[in-house]
Amino acid sequence: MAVAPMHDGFLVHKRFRYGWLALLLVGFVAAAFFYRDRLEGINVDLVFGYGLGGLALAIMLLLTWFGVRKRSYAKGAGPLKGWLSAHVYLGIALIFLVPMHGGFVIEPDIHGLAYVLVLITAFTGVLGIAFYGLYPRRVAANRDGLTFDDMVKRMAEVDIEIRGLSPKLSEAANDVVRGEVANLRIGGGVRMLFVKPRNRSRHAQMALHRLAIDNDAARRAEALLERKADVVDRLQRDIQMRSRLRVWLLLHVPLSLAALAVVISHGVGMLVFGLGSV
Amino acid sequence: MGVSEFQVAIIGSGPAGLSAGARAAARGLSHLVLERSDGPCNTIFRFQKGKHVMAQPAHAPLRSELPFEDGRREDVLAAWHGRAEELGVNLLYNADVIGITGVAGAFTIALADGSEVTAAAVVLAVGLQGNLNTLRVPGAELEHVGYQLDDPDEYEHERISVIGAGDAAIENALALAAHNDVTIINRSGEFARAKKANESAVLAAIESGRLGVVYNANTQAVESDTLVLETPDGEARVPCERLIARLGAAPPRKLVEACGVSFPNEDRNALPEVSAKYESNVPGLYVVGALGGFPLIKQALNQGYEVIEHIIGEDVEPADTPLLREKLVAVPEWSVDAFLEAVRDRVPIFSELNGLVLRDTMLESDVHKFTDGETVLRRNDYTNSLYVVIEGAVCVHLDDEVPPKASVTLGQGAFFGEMGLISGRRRAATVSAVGDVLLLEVPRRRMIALRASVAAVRESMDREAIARSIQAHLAPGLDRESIDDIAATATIHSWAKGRVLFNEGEDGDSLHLIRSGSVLVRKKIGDHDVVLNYVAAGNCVGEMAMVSGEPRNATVAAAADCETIRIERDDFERLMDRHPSLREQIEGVRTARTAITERMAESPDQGSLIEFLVDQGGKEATDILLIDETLCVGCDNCERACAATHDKITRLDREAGPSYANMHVPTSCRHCEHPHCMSDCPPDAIKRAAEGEVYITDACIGCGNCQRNCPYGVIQMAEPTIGQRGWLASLVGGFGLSRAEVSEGPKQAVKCDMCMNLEGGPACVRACPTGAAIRVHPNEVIELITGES
Ligand SMILES: Cc1cc2nc3c(=O)[nH]c(=O)nc-3n(C[C@H](O)[C@H](O)[C@H](O)COP(=O)(O)OP(=O)(O)OC[C@H]3O[C@@H](n4cnc5c(N)ncnc54)[C@H](O)[C@@H]3O)c2cc1C
Ligand code: HEM
Ligand code: SF4
Ligand code: SF4
Repeated sequence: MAVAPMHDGFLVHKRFRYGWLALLLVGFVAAAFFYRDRLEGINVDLVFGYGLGGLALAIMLLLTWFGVRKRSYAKGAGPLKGWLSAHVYLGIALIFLVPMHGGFVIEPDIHGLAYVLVLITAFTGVLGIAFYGLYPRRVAANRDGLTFDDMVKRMAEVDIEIRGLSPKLSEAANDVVRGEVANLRIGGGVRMLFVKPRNRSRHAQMALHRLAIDNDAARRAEALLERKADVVDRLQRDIQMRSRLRVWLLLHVPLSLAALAVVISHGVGMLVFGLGSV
Repeated sequence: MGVSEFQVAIIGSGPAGLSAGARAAARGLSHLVLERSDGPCNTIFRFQKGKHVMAQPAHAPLRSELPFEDGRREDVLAAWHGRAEELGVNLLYNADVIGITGVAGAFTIALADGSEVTAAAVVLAVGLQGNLNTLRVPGAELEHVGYQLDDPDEYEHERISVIGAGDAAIENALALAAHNDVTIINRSGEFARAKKANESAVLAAIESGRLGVVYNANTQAVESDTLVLETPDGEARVPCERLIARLGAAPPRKLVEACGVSFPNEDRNALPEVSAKYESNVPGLYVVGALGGFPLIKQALNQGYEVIEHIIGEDVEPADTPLLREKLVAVPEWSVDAFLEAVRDRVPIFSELNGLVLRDTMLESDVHKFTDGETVLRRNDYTNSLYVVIEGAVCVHLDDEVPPKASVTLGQGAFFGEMGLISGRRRAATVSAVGDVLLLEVPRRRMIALRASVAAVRESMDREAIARSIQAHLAPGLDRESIDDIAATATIHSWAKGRVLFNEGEDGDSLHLIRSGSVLVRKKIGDHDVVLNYVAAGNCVGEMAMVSGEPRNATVAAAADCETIRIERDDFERLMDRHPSLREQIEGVRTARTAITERMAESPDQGSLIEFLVDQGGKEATDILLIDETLCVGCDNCERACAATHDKITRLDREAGPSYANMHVPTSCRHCEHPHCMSDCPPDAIKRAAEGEVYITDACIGCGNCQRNCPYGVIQMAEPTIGQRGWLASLVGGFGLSRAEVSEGPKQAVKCDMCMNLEGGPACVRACPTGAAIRVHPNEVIELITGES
C-alpha cells in the first residue's frame, strides 16, 4: 500500500526503461524478419545469422554477467535492481530473438541444442519472475510479523510445557505425545516443493481428542498440540514458499552456464567453418 | 576536636583512588584508602573475564605511580596490585562509606558498620557505578547470596531464587531457568516495572511452568538451603541453594550529597562542580575520577596523582598543558594561558566556567584560523559542533544566494552552530569568515555536557538561541531589535516522549516552535484516535488557533523527547504586525494542514502507518532502511553486501525487526538526530559525519555502553575478523551467509556506517536485486503518506 510510492520494483524500474528497450528491439527485428524477402541489397543470412546471432550472444553475455555483478558489492556501477530489470527484459527478448535467428527451425545438432538450452533457461527465468511476483507478499502474510526463529521458539515452548504434563497423562496419551515428537517433520527434501509434509502435530491433536480423556492435563495437552499444529502449518508453508523462491535459481544458473557454453561453441563453429558457406 | 588519624583519606580504590593512594604513599603522607568491596578496583574487577582494557586517549601522557598500558584486565589489575604493595599503600576493604562531616583539617568519615575514620583532607573517588542495594535480613552474609550474575551458564541443576521484579531480575531468572530450577520472588503482585518484552517473557515462563514465582513476598531470612518469606498467606519456605537479589542500585549522588558536596542541578547525570584543583564546594574535600566527569582510566590515574600534589600544596603543571599547546600550533603568538584567558574574557557563554572545565573543554576542542571568505560550515551539513569567535568576525548567510542577500555578522565573543547542535538536524545556514578570524570549535558532546551541568552556559546560550530561532523560522528578514523583546518573554519547554503539549478543545493561548525532537498531531474521530500529521523540528504547532481564535482542533504530543519555544498569543500578534508576511506564511501553513487533516481523516490506516514509522525511529532518524515486503524475495544479498564491505560482519539483520502494512523496518542503524549511542561512550569514539552518518572509530574500548543505549538494538560487539569463505565457495555452496572467521582480539562495537566510504551509497540498497530495500529520510515517507509536498 502506502509504501509503494517509495519503492520502485525491478519490473517498473525507471518507468520500464528496459522493457521498452526490449520491446523496441524485438519489434524492430520482427519487422525486419517478416519483410526479409523484400529487403534488397542485403544478405539476409548474414544479417540474421551473424548479425542477430552476434546480438543474441552479446545479450547472453550481458545476462550471465549479472551473476558477477550480483557479487561485486563494493563497486558502484548502478544499483543491482537496474541490472535485474535489464536482465529480465532482455532475457524475455531472447525468447523471441533466438527463434528468428534460427528461422524457427530446430534440428538435432549443436544449433538446436543451443536454441533449446537458451529457451529453457529463459523459461526458468520467467518461472522465477512468477515466483518473485507471487510469494513475497504471501510469505509476509503467513509470517504475520514473526521471524522464523520466533516460530521455532514457539514450538519449543510448547514442547517443554507438554513434557511437563507427562506425569499427569495416561499411558495412551503419553504414547500419542511421544509419537508426535518422534515423527514430526517440518520440512526438507525435494517433495516439500510440491506437497507439504503431513502435519503430525495436527494428527496427534486429533488422536488425543479421540481418546476423549476427561482431565485437565489431557485437555491442556490437546490445546497445546493445537497451538503447535498451527505453528507447524505456518512453518511448512513458509519453508515451501521460500524454497520455491530459491529453487528455480538452481536450475536457472547451471542451465544458463550450459547454454552460454553451447552458444559460444556454436558461434565459434560458425565463425570457423560457417563463414565460407554464406 | 582531636587530631585526625590521617593526613588524607581516599574513598574508593578505583584507578583514581588507588593512584591517589599510591602517590600519597610515595610522598610519605599518612593515608588510608577506604574500599567498599573486598578487593581493589571493583569496577574494573567486574569487567568481563579477559577483557582487553584500553589506555585511551592514546596521545595523552600518563602521570601516576601506577603503570598502565593496553592489556588484559587481569594483567592491568595485577600490575597495579604489585605496585601498590611495593609502595605500601594503606588499603582498608569492606569499608562502605555512608557520609562525611566536619571541615578541612578535621573530617569524620562514617562507615556502614558504624565505625568512623578521621582525616585532614578527603579525596572522593567512588566512580559512577553506584551502590548495589543489598539485603538486610539474617543470613544475608551467607556465601550463596549474591547481588549480580556474571555468567548464567556457570550454574546447572541448582535450586535458585532470584529476588526482584525489575529487568535485571527477570533477565537473570530467565537465563538461569534454562538449566536450573528457578523461583522469582516478587515483592508486589505484578512485573509492571520491567520492560514490556521482559514482562511478557517472564509471564509466559511462569505460565508454562518453566519458572516458579512467589508474589507479594517479603524476604524474612536466608538459611543455608531455604529462603524464608512473609506472604499474605503466612510464612513461606522456598528451597534455595543459591540466592540472587537484584534490588537495584542507588546512584552515588546520595552518598556525595551526604558528604556535603552539592550538585549544580537536578539532572540525573549532573556531576558535582570542582575547582581547577579538584576541590569541591567543601574546602578540603576533593573529587576525582569518573565522578568528577573524567570517564577514562588514564584520566582517573592522572587525577589521583595530581590531587595529592594539590593537597600537599605543590603547584603541578597540569599533565594536559603540552596537549593544549599543540592545539595552538597554528597560532604560535598565543600562549595556553593567554588563550584560556581570552576565551573566558571574550566569550560570554563561557565566562563562568571554572578553570578545570575550561581546560578540559579546550582539550576536546579545535582552534581554527580562517581567512576572508573561507567557509566555516555549510548549510545542510549534519555537523553539530559549536563555534565561538575568539577574534575577528563571521558572516551568517541567511539565504542560498552568492553573495547572500540576507546575512548577519557575528563578532568577537559570539557563538554559532547552536541550531544544528540543539536540533540534531542539518545546518540551517552557511557561515563564512569576514577577514581573518580565530575560532574555537567545541564538539557536540562537550557542549551537551556543559549545557547540562553549567546553568550559566545554558541560560546565556538559550536567550540568544530563542531570538535566532524566531528570526530563522518565523521572521526571516526582520531586524533583531524587533525580535528581541518578543524573544525575551518566550520560554523554553522540554517534553518527554509521549507528553501532551496541548489537547484538542483547549484554549489556544500560545504557539510552539519545535527546536528539537518532533511531535504527532492526533484527533478523535468517532471512537478512534487518528494520527493526522507528524511535525519535525524547525516547524511550529498550535498556529491554527492563533489565527482563527478558535480552540485547539487537535491534540499534539511529543513523538520523541522534545524542546519547544513557546510564544504567547499577544507576542505572536505583535510579531505578525511587525512582520506581515508571517501572517501570510501562517495562513499558508494553515491551509496546507487543513487539507492534510481532511485527507488523513478519511484514511485512518495511513495515520497508523505514520505512527508505526515514527515509533520505529521515524521520530529521530535521519536515514532509515525500509524493506517492501511485497518485493523482498529473502535472498539476503543485502546482508551479504554489508558483510562483504564491512570486515565480513553484516551490520544489518534483514529478518529481524517489525513490519506494518508490508513495510518492514529491519534491524539497522537509523542515524538518529541525537544518537543515543553517543551519549555515554567513554572515549567519545562515536562520530557523526557531515552527511549525517553515525559511525564508530577505532578508539572504541569495547565497553558496550552504546549497545545498551541504542533503543533499536542495532549495535553488536564483535571480534575483528580474519577470513571468510571464498567467492567461488559462496557461488557453489549456494545461499547461506558466508561465515566469517573471527580472531581472539578484543571486542569492539560495530554498526552501520551507511557505507560512507563507498561510492554509490549503501551497499545493501545497491545489492538488492528487486528494489525492495531503500534508505530514506523518514520525512520523505511521511510526506508521501500525508500528501504534503
Ligand atoms: C564495561 C566497561 C568497560 C570499560 N572499559 C574501559 C577501558 O577499556 N579503558 C578505559 O580507559 N576506561 C574504561 N571504562 C571506564 C573506566 O572503568 C572508568 O573510567 C574508571 O573505572 C573510573 O575510575 P574511578 O576510579 O573514577 O571509579 P571506579 O573505577 O568506579 O572506582 C570506584 C571504587 O569506589 C568504590 N566505592 C564506591 N562507593 C563506595 C563507598 N560508598 N565507600 C567505599 N568505596 C566505594 C567502588 O567499589 C570502586 O572500587 C570502562 C567502563 C565500563 C563500565
Ligand atoms: C537465457 C538467458 C538467460 C541467462 C543466460 C541468464 C543468466 C542468469 C544468471 C547467470 C543469473 C545469476 C544467478 C545468480 O548468480 O544467483 C541469473 C539470475 C536471474 N535471472 Fe536470468 N538468465 C537468462 C534469462 C532470464 C529470463 C528470461 C528471466 C526472467 C524473465 C531471468 C530472470 C532472472 C532472475 C529473476 C534472476 C535472479 C535474480 C536474483 O534474485 O538474484 N533470467 N540469470
Ligand atoms: S546506533 Fe542506535 S542510537 Fe545510534 S544512531 Fe544508530 S539507531 Fe540511533
Ligand atoms: S562500545 Fe560503544 S560506547 Fe563503548 S567505547 Fe565502543 S563505541 Fe563507545
